[in-house]
Amino acid sequence: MNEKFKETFREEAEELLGHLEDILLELEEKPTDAELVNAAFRAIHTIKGSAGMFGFEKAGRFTHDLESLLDECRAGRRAVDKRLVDLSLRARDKIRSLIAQDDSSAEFDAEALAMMEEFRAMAAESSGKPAQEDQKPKADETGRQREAMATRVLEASIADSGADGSGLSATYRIRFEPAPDIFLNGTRVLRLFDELATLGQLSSMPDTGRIPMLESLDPETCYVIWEAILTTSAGIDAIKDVFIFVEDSSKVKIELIDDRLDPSEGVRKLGEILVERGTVKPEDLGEALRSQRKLGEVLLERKVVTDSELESALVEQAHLKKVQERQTEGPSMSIRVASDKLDELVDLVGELVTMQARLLRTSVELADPGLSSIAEQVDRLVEQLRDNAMGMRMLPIGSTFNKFRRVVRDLSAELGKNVDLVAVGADTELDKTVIERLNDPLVHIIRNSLDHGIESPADRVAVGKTATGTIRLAAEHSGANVVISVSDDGKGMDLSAIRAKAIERGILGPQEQLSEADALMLVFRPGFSTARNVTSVSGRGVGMDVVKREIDSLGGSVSVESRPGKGSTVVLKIPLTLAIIEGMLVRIADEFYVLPLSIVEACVEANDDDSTDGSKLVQFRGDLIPYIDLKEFFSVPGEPVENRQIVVVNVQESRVGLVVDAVIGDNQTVIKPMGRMYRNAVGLSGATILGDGRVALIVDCMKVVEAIPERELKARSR
Amino acid sequence: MAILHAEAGRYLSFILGSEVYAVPVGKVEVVLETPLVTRVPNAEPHLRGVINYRGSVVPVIDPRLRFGGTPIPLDDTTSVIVLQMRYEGEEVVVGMLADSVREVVDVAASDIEPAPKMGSLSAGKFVAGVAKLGGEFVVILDVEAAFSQAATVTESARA
Repeated sequence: MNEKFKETFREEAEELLGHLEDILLELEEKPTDAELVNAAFRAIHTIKGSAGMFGFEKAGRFTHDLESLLDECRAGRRAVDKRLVDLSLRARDKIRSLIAQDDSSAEFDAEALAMMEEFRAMAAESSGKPAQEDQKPKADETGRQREAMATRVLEASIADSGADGSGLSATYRIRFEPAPDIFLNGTRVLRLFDELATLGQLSSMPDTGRIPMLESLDPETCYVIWEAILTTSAGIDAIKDVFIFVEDSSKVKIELIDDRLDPSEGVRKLGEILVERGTVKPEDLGEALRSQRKLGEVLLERKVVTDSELESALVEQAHLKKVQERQTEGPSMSIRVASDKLDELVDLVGELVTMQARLLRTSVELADPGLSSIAEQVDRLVEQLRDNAMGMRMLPIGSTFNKFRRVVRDLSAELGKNVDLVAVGADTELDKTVIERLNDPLVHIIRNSLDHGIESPADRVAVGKTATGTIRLAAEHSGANVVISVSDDGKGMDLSAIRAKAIERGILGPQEQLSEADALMLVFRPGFSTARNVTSVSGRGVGMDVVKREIDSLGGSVSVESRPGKGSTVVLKIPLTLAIIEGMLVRIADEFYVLPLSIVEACVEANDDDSTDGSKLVQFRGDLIPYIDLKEFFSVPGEPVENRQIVVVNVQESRVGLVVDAVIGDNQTVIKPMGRMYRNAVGLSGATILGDGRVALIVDCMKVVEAIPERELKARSR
Repeated sequence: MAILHAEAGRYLSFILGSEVYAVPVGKVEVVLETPLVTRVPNAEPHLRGVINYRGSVVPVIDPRLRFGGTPIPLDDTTSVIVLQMRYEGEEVVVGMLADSVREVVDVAASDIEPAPKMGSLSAGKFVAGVAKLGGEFVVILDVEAAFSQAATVTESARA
């Protein structure tokens, strides 16, 4: 069997198994949800079918019995209980390892055999027949049977789309003839159509035939009539609701064209549509058709229809065609793309953005109006292309969060603790590579919370807490960062134990004094662990230092808070680190720097008397905010200049002014790494190439602001 | 570091101060004449900045500062030798400043001699060997040692 196909199968199976895990975990909470049982069955069924096709016979055989068991549940002959979910989850892991091994010749190991026995036993319990009679798959399954299986998979997924897709959709023709004075009462007509568009697939066509010549036109009167075709599953009442405030004065006509378009019927003929609309009488149509020319042209010539009536019918035809095509396209609208191809795309877009900056610059220099307009249009396109390319790499972090459910479930069982995982902000989007790299650190943190943070149920009840602990996983955007926090309501961190351990391990001198915050940070030091017993979970002294290292390498930061008896929170702050950001280009002497535009609040002129008392504070919107002279910070050589600018940035909830010589303007900034040699360059996060080919440096405002003494940051609140 | 491991082969020779140096041609990607070097603040002194090399941002190192000399002036005669080398286990591209670039020379094994006492530059540990070519000493530079050594210095300075 071709390795490439196998690889594809593995990828797909990995995805399906991940999906299956989510379903099973949800099923554990909602054991009576028939849709979930169905979904689990379908996932298993698909895996079984394709495993057989791609030569993973062992995985296929193993999966078969699980499928039969789930089929029993699906048929309602067996209820979903904890035992079933447990077994299914373990089986899922087994399938995964069987697929990874890809060794169909070997015998099943004892674990697999035991599981298969259990599947059959459980299935037999429900159907009341002895396990031995249960159908066994034959090893010499013929190719045709496999083919049949694959077809069934396909059918299943098509049927899904009907059931899952929001019910039956129907297509309506809407004619909206607004009252001439509709503008006078403040109605925004186009808003109505925006609202319609949210219901489904909308095509609209304004009929402008009634607009008079300019001299007799009253700008406050509405002359336009709209025809719209809407395919929606929301029902006619939803459409009527859109027009509820205008239906008294305006004419609204809603007709059902078709309940459900049959793709096999072929595209509707223009003539049919016209007759159905009452635009053309059947006899006129017959006559026009006999002329053997394009129907529209003939009808127009004979003045049977007007231009706009014809156009409206054509829009309807196009709309119906689109809807039909959509239905035949099937359920899957996504395709699988290798991630390095996406990376390559983003690289290329990056190059394009840089070239575009050059094009704009050159067009400004040449001052050729033709070239300028092209450059501007290309600029818009490049920007859209950039957003699109970047968007493809953005994934909601929820996909990672789901994996942690399993971690929490298994671990809490192992440790004899009751723990709920609450995830907030699962739709927060982050660059794909960042999400991948966050996985391990988050697992470590969650394990730590479970192992060291959350107490045993008895201990919890003893201190008046609920027996079930909670781990809260939250993600949110904050400026150019994503803040991810993992908090538990456990016993918090034991500061004296941390200190004692740090001294024992030689991390801390016996006499050294540390602030509470600094003491907590000790847990991120290599070789630190306060767990008394080494468990399989954590406490091996690896983990938290790995977390810190990984987050550091992502350019982020880790902090930890703890309240004794109440729990602790680990906060990760991760820069979005997109390959391309919106930047603001500034100049200091003859050097160029880029500030991330997302954190820039304002640019103001620097007054020389702002800092007469040397306090390095400046007035901004009635507040005193601290400022940093970037020229000083980056030791830029050059004479002092007048009329400098202060860029006010918002960093970690504080406003800080950054003084520069001049603000050049917006810059689409393609972030280029400066390489490992510069990883210690304070206050810089990368570099970018400007339109003229020179390199500008990207300022890491967070690091710059850290240079400001704490008391001055607080001055603002005074 | 004192082990001499220079091999026979083709080398690119260049001038640093008053001495002639060489690096294996195989490591050289290109020689750039007077590229625009962007200074990178708050970095180690011998890192003079970055350049745009075919759309990538490449660090520029000043070997004279690395060996404890005076900085190479950035003017019309300055060249940047773009090298491929290993740095902390990764293949990286760096630009090395040179006062000027001379030529590609063939060095036979018999030309390579043990390093004499170094004169003006204390580059002893970065020397892979010394070749005597036409009555002139050419110092064969071990760029990897020169750069990774730099990293070690930084690490200990940080701790």
